[in-house]
Amino acid sequence: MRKALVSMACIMFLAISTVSAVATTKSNEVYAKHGMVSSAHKLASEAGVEIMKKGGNAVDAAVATSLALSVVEGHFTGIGGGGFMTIRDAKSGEVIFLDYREMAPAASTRDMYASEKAKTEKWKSIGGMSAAVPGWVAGMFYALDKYGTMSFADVATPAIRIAEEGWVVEPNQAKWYAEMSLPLVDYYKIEDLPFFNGDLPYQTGEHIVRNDLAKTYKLLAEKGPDVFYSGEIGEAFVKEVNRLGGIMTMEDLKNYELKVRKPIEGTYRGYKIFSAPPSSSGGTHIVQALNIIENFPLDQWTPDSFERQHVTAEAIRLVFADREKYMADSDFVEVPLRGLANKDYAKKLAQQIKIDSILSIIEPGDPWEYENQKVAYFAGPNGLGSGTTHFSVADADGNIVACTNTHNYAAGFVPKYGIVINNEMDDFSEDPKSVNAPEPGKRPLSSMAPTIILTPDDRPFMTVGCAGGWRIISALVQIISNVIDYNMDMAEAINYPRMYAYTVSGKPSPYIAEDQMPEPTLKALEVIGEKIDIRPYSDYFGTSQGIIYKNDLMNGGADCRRLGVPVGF
Amino acid sequence: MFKKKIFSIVLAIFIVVLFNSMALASTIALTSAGQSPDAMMVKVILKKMNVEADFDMALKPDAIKDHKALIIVVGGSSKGLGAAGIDQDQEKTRVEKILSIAKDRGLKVLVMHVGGDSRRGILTDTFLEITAPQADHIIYVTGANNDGYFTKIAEEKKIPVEESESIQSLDIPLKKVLGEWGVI
Repeated sequence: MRKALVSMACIMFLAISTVSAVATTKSNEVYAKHGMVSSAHKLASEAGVEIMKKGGNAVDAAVATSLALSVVEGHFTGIGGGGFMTIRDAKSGEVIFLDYREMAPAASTRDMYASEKAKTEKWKSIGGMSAAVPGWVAGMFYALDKYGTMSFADVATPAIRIAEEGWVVEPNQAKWYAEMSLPLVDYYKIEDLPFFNGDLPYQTGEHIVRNDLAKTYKLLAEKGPDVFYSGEIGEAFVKEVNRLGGIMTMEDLKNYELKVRKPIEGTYRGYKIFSAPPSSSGGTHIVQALNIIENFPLDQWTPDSFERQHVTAEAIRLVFADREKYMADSDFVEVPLRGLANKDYAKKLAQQIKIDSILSIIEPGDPWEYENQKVAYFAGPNGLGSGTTHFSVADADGNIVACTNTHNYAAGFVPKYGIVINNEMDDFSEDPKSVNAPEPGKRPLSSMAPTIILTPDDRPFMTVGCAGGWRIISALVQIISNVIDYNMDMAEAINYPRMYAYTVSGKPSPYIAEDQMPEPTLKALEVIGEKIDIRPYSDYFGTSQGIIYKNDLMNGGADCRRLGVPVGF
Repeated sequence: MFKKKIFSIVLAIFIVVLFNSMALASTIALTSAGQSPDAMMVKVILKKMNVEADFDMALKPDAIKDHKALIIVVGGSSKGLGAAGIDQDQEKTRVEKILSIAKDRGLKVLVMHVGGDSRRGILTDTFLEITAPQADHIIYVTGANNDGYFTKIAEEKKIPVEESESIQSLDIPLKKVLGEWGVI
C-alpha cells in the first residue's frame, strides 16, 4: 500500500514536470489556396502541382505524383509493386478505396514457406519466391480512367522528364539504394542494377538518371496497361521472377484484379475517418485505436505527458493483439470488421488500461461479440468488381486523394525496364494455419492506411498516410490525435516526436520512443513498469505526408524524417 | 627408386603449395556488426580490388578457421537485425564471440565504419563500443568522425586509424592495411 502511494506520488510529480517539455520540432508548413501535393520528394510534389496548374484535378495530379515518385523514390514504389488509393470525389461526396495490392501467384500454397529449407533460405523475403503479382499499373490506369480528366501520356510527362534529366542523390536515397541493391549483386551484372553507378550504388551528391524507366513509361503511354499485364514488359517481369526461383506465370499477370472497395469508416471525436479496409489492417486498427483513446481525457493531458503516451501505447498494443488473431484478406477469411471498429468493443478494451500500471499480458479480445451489432459509422468491405511511400493531394474543388504505394523491398530487378520486383509475399505468414497464410490470388496483409477525414458535417478536413510497416498504425493514430486533440498544424503534427508499441503472442513490446521524448515522461513510464527503448528520431518511426483544410486554405506538411516536401499554388 | 623419391617430394611440395594458395584465397573473414548493408558494400569494394573474402553477414564464431584477418564492418540497422531474425543483444553476443576467437587465434582485426555521419547513432555506437577498442586498425569514411569518436579512441587505445574521403576511395586504405598485414 505504502509502495503504491509512493509510486503514485512519483508519477504525479514527474507528470507535472513534463508539461510542454518537447522542443518545437522542425516545421515545413505550407499554405495554398488552389491545390496542394505533399509527397516524400519535392520533384514528385512539383510534378503533381504542374498537372493541376494545367487543369488536371486531384486524381490526375495523384497519378502524376505517383509516377514521379516511382522515379525519385523508385526504391520504394513502382511498376513492380502495388498500393492503395483513397479518393474523395467532390461531385458525389463519395469516398472510394482502390485496392491494387499485389496478389499471390496461382501456384501459391498455404505451406509454401513452412519447410525448414524455406525458412533457412528465407524464400518469403528473398528471391523469386518472394514476388507477388503487381497491381500498381492497374491502379494508376483505373484511377485515371475513372476519376481523372487527362491521358496517361499527359500525366506521365513530368515523371519522364525527371527520369531523363535526373537529380542529385540525397543521403537518405543513397542509404536505401545500398540497402536495396547490395543483397542482389551476386545475381546480376553490375550494369543491370538500376541503382548502381559503375561499381557501387549511387552515392550522396552523384547525379542519377533513369532512362530505363523513362522508356518503360513511354511504352505504357503508347500501349496502355496491357503491355504490362499481357505484353512485353510483363513477359520480361515474369521471366526475371522465375530466373530468381519464382513461380509466376503470364496467366497470373492476366488474371490480376484491381478491387474497388468501400473504405473502413469510423469517427474520432465527431470527425469522420475513411481509411483502408482489408487487405490492409491499417484503416481498421487506426479506427479501433482511436476508438479506445476516445475514452480518455486527452484534453487534460499535454501531447508529451506520460498519461497520453501511456494510454496511446496500451491502445496500440491492444490493437496489435487483435491484428495478430483476426486480420487477413477478407476476400479469403472472415474478419470481424464491424466488431473491431465498434465503439462499445473499444470501450471494453479501454477498461483494461490502468493509468498507474501496464498490461503485462495482452490477449486478443472478442470482436465477434460485437460483429452483428448495428454500427453507426461502419461501411464495411464491399467488392465492386473490383518498402512504401505515401502522398496526399487536394484540389480547390474538394477532390482529395490519399495514396500509399510500395513494393516492400526488392526481390530483384527487371533489367532494361528499370523495374524493381516486389517481395510482398513477405507480408504473408509462414504458418500454414495462420489466417494470413498464402493462397492463390490472396493479398498479403498490409498496414498501409491512406486516410481521408471529413468534418462532422462532411466537409473536407484532412488527408494523411504513412510509410513504415507496422509503425504506420502507431504513427497515424498519433498524428490524427495531434491534429484533432491538440490542434496542431499539419507539419507540426507529423514531425512531433512519436512512440511505437506492439504485441506479439500476448507479449507487449517495450515502449519504443524517439530520443526527443522528455526525460520526466520516460521516468514516469518507468515507474509504472514500462521498459523503455529509446531510438534516434528517424524514419524508423514511419514517414508521413498530409494536408489539412484550415481557414479556407490547404495546410500541407511533410515528414522531415525523410525528404518530404509539400508544394501548393 | 631415386626417381620415385624425387617424384614423391615434388608431389608433396606441389600439394603443400596448392593448399597454401587455396588458403590464401580466403584468408580474410568479413562480417557485419549491427546488420546494416555496409558490410555488403565492403564486400563489393573488395571484389572490385580482386580480393576474395569469406563473407557472411551473420558469421558464426565456428566459421573462423584458417583466416589471418577479420574485417568487421560496423553499422546498426533495425531493419537488418529484423531480417536476420535477431535482436541487438544477440548480435552483440555473436560479435563478441567472434572477436574473442579472432584474438585467441591471432587474427588481425580491421574495424570499418563506412556509413559516414548518417550511420552513426545509438544503435551503431553500441556496436562500435564493443568492436573499435579491439581493433588492430580502423578505417572510417569522413563524416563518421564529426564528433571526434575515432580520433579519441585512436589516441586512447593507440590504434592506427585511416580516414577515407568517400566510399569510392576506400580501396586505398584497404590496400594499405591488408597489404601491411600480408593478406593480399
